[in-house]
Amino acid sequence: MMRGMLGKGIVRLSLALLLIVGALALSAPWLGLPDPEEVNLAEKLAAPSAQHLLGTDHLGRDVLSRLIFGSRVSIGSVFAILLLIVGFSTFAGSLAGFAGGAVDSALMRICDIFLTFPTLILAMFFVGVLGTGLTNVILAIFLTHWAWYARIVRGIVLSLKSREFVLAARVAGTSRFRLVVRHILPSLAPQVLVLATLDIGHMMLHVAGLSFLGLGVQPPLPEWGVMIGDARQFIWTQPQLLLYPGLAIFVVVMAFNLLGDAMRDALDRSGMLEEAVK
Amino acid sequence: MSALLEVRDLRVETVAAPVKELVRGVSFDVRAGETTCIVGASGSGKSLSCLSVPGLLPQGVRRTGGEIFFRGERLDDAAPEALTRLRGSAVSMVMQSPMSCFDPIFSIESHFRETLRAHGVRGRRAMDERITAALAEVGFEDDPAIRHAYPFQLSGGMLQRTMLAIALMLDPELLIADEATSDLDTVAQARVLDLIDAARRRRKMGVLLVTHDFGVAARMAHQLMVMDGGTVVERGQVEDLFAAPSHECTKALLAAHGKLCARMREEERAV
Amino acid sequence: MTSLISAKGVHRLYRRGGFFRKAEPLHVLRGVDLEIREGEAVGLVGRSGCGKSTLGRVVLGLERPDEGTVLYDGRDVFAADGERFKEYRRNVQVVFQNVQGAVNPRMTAGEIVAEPLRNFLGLSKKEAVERSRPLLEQVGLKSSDADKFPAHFSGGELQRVCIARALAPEPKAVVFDEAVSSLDMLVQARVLDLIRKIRDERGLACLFISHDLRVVAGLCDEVALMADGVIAARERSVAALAASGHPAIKRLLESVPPSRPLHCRERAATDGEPEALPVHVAAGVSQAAM
Repeated sequence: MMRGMLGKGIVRLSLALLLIVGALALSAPWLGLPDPEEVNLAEKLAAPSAQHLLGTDHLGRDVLSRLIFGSRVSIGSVFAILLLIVGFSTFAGSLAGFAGGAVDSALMRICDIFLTFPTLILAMFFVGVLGTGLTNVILAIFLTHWAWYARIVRGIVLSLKSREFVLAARVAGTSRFRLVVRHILPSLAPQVLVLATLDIGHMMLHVAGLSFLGLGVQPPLPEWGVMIGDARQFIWTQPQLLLYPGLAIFVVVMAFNLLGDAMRDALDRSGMLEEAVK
Repeated sequence: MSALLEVRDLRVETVAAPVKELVRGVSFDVRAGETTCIVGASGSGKSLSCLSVPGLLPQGVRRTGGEIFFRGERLDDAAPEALTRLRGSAVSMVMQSPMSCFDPIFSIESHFRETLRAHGVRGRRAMDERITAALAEVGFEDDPAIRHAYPFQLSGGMLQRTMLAIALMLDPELLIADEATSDLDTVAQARVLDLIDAARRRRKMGVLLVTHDFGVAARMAHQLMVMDGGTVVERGQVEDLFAAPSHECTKALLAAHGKLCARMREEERAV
Repeated sequence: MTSLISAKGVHRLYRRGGFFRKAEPLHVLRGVDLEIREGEAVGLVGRSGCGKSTLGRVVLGLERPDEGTVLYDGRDVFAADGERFKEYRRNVQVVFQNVQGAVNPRMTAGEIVAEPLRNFLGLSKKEAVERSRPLLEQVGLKSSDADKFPAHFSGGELQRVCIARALAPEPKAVVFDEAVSSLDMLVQARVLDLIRKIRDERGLACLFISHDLRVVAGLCDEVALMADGVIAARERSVAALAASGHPAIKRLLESVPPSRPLHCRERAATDGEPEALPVHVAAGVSQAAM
């Protein structure tokens, strides 16, 4: 699957970009950057210099440093969300698909309730209930998205349940647990992985959006959405303060989308998509 | 009498390296009003040989040699538009898996209309007449509800008959059936084969039939061609090949076929 | 011969429609009685969609009948406790029609055959895969094939792997659900020979489900015809079944392809005059809706 994916130049570029961003994010504390949270009003809104490669923001904090440290929050939080979603939804969806009957109906009705609400509104509601802050943003976005994945997982499990190789495994005496782990999950995993990758961009925008509205990450924690929110008032005077985090979000979201698309195409080609969904 | 379809020295290869020859030096013809059967195991190149005729080779494979004559004219170097016009009207196909040839969200009738529109038939009444006639030809005259049904509501056999109806609708001179009955049970198979044979006789149509089953060849063929590993192993009139096969491959296939048929006769004797 | 598997009055319905729409349930099995004795090969023939595979799945314990019982060794299969059900499973194995779909593409042939060995004999993965090698040889493959993935096998070879898997736990009965229907004629012949050899050597009881009469003939001790959701007729051989005259068996017989070419006779007739068709072909053409 990997070989097919890396064929296209733009995919290679996206992967390279994401690897660079990832490397920067992980190694941020050791890059010798100025403290992203250090307020220095004397140097506020400074132009780019040797000391501050991209200048400073309205509180004198180094913009580049905030961008790089911010990536840890923006991207890291999305991975945390995805881990929660994939884990929980796979469990819930598999349970519903396998158990069938009343359990399935009950779980699906719960999913329906969650799915009825527009995601941002629901997220805002949860933040309102849980309070602001990064952990609560992560929880809120997880709660708004899990239902969709659970449905998809359930659909795949339902279609796989009646496939001959699962029936054959049952006749061969395989326990229900082993059935799920050995036969169902391996077909499920690539599917869910691709969907999750395609969703990364979308979720980053949610985190940034909520933070931009002041509902998510609280100052002084650096995060791209917060940076955009802070820079709003300077849109005419210092537009670059908006541009840098905006571009960062744009480029990373696009890279993840391209990667997700390529993964889905590769999955399609290798027939695994068909196989799991047939 | 010159043949309706003549294929000389066909050569099909894979596109990507390493280049593999899938069909090598294959020649056959189909006469108007007669059936030519290509028989062979999976992977012998029989499907590729017949897909080359209307220029419908799958991706990753291409024709690299040979000549195809249809009604005496060269087909292999014809312009794409000319080829498109021929497909569905002069040369029609029925394929193996009926379910995958129908779009599940469109009704049966829509499929008919689509084909008619593509070949310039206009007007609801003209279309309706042709659709009714086509459906009647394959035995659906008493079943008007079929038109509004969706593909998933029909059995494999019914879908295949519908596909045949669409294929025959524009009065083709050549019908290509690529393992058209391999996915059907024996009763559905017999029905579809009878319909193809009846259409052949009535319309003086040429039929190119691909199958792995010698029983189907016995039922349908006038001319028989056995393929193995991309080449023609033996070719001739069907009764000659059955009576006196010369190649090992043909003999093996005939032996297996004979054994299968003998099982029923043995039983009869025991009873 | 003692009765091994006995299905009595089995009904199976498939409910259609969703939460708010009640559609007519599909009554596939309407009171099926079928008995398979030890060491006996029973053929089950009928049109596609008549319920043969459904009955096969019920007999295998994969689907619970809505009414009726399935007895194994005189005891109700679906009322059995864990241990007894496991014993039943071990003794009644299956080979499916869809060869590619019946194996997990991410497991090697050895692992596929090892699965029942691990489950029923409690062997470790390594031991079980080693045990699978001679089993693969018994079905005509090579011991080294145990390390190959399904993609490396042809249809016929993969079906042999499935047969090896079915035979691994040394069952008393095997259900062959259209096991040769998707195979090429030559491959089909070889696999049928293998099945016959295995049957003769091990005295296995078989339920041979097929829509093709030729495949069942000469292999089975008894042949049952399924039509309209019940066993319509049951005789000692296909020929005897044919003699019984049930309309469903007539249809099946008429559809069997001929053994000798038909059209050579046509050429002998004068040009332009449509030849009289052989009786069974003519009957097929003028048949009412399928």
